Amino acid sequence: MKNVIKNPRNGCSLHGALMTALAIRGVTPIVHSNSGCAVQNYLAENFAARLGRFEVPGSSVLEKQVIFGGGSRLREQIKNTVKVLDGSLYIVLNGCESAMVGDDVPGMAKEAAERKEPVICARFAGFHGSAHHGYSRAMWDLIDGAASLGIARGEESGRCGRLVSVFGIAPGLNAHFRGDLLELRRMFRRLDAEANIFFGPGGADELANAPSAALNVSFSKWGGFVCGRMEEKYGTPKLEFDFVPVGFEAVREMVLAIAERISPDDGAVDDFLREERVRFEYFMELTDEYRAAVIGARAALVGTESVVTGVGKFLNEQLAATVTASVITDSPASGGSNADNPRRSDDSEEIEDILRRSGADIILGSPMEAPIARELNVPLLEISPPAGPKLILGKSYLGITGAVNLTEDYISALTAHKAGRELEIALEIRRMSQKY
Amino acid sequence: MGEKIGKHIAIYGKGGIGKSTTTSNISAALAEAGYKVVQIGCDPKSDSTNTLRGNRYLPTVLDSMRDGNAVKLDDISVTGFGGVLCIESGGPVPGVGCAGRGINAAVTLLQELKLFEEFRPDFVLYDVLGDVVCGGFAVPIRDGITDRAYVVTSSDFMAIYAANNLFKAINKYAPTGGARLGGIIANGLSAGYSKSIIDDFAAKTGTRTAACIPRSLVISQSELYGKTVIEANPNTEHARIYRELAKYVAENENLVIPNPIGPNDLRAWARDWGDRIYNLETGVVTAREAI
Ligand SMILES: Nc1ncnc2c1ncn2[C@@H]1O[C@H](COP(=O)(O)OP(=O)(O)OP(=O)(O)O)[C@@H](O)[C@H]1O
Ligand code: SF4
Ligand SMILES: [Mg+2]
Repeated sequence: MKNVIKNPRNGCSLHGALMTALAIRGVTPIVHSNSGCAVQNYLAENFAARLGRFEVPGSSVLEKQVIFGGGSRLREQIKNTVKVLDGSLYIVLNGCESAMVGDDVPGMAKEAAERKEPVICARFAGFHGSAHHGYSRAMWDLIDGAASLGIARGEESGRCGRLVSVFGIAPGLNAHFRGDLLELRRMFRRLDAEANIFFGPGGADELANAPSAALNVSFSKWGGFVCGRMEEKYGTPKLEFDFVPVGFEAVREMVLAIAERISPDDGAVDDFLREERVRFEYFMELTDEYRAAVIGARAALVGTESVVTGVGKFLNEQLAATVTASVITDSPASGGSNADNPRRSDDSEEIEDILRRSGADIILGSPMEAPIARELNVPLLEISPPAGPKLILGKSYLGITGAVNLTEDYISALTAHKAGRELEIALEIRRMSQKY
Repeated sequence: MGEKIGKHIAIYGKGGIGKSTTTSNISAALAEAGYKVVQIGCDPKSDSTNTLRGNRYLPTVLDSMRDGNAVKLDDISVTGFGGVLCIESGGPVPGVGCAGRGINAAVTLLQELKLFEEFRPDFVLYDVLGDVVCGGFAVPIRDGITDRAYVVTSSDFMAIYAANNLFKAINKYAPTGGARLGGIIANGLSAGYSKSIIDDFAAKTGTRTAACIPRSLVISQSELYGKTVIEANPNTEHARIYRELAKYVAENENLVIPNPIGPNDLRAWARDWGDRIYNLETGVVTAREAI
């Protein structure tokens, strides 16, 4: 094993949970930890935090609280936070030291709940795993915690037949999670279903609805964890995909599987798929000539497993790309993957090595691949977190909309790069000829 | 840390085994012999130096730190019997916080307050809570704070087990500048075979028995007066034993890295002693037995 890991991109569970909580409207995190834990998230993990808000209340514990316990510091912090920051749900997130010292965090949250303040606590700490682990645990604790406070809504009499919750597409997992989720919501509506997407305008209200959903759909193993817990406790059926659907074939596979579980009105599925196919083919035909220009381009992918799988398949089948390297960055999973030659690494040096040897004409990865893309003089397309300085709002790389966006960006990146190179060469030739 | 002022000695052992009693009597005997002594109780119970200071009130280092004011040496120390400077690290109330980190912080603060430069002790004794339960409690034998440790044990298996654990910690830290073992202090012995058990354990681990302190009412009685045996009953056999132990501790430079016994071997060793004691009680004594 190497003894140095260069620039790992995955933070700790606290970071994943913090990104999750901050991205859900109405949820206010309270970090019980030393202040560096939250600042680190801001600096390293979450450029995207600049979207929206970054006021993170925290207990900022010091050595004193380590020795004597941080319970009363947290009690004070909860009281003050509830007074000065709005939130329909507050969640206490634990750093490592409070967990090691054994602070009674559940007790403090319970005290607040008894004062009728909507405060819950996470049942894990920073050291329990990666940021992705933090996403899945936080999601589950938020839903289950909201239910325990009795703020769960939905049909009194059990399940809401037309409600679906979506898991596994989230900040820290997908670069375009907001757009992807809104695209999914649009698709579900066409199947007569309403979707809880959590990271959208609905926010915390959807957490309260979640236990009464008729189906949970997951698009990564991290979402799979939440679905598993929901099935155990609330009996919610689940449907898990290990890819993010991009393009018509993937959309059809997904829609048919979902339709089987939620039985939309007769004809809704056929109508919807027909429309999606027409839309997809329309755009693909328009780009015939462009696509011909990039046939056989070698692409290297870096990102979470389900994104790399979904995007890789689309590039290969629709844009005739050769995927020469796939690097999966969200912790090793058991079982195989259907992406081309996937490698698993969180180590930027190893990833750069793989990319160097891939002979790629284009890299689809995160902003962390910018230096190697520059070194190799190839274009970089952003499909993975961590978020960089580029503003990503509602754009999607999922579904038909996502396929069109991806096609547009992928081909543009290659042609612009090629044109740029040609221009450079032409200018160079002119300079040379003027010299002599 | 710069130049080391005085000999720094850590005393470990299972809970309730007699660490504080033994340490305080060693301190008292050293003071009586004319040395300048500091005793630091490294235990949230903060009862280490009780018998040196007649149970007089003494705010702990961590209590003062918690109050947030600038701490002065005078606030956290009191002069006890024979001029022994008594200090208690203190710590969190039971069930919260991290006492291990507390000891660490208290010792660091004492260094920052230049305790040793000011007081210039000949001996500093650290009476450390219980078994080595986590890294925090190993602080006094790590980082060059003390250079020698003694372990108090009875012949009970769990006390020996705790001593063996301390040996593991010493074994781990000694090569990088941690303390070495000065010896085993056998305390509270009553049965005749007890000393043999401890001597055998010492031989197995490559260490020595520094003293044997029999169980005695003199100790209990002195404690009830809030005094050490040296102060309350200076002419007893126990006072003599403590003086001898103090002399041993003061002069002993034969410091070793002990070889702790592995968990299975330790159990086998204990079982073997179980058989021997059983045979003894039932009258079967083999010739080799040094009882
Ligand atoms: N040799 C002995 N004979 C009789 N009583 C003893 C003897 N040694 C210790 N004791 C008594 O045992 C009790 C516990 O002793 P002490 O407080 O010194 O133990 P300790 O190891 O410091 O305990 P702790 O781990 O709780 O700090 C005391 O009441 C003490 O008087
Ligand atoms: S791993 Fe622990 S200490 Fe480090 S940032 Fe995360 S919560 Fe804080
Ligand atoms: Mg004690």
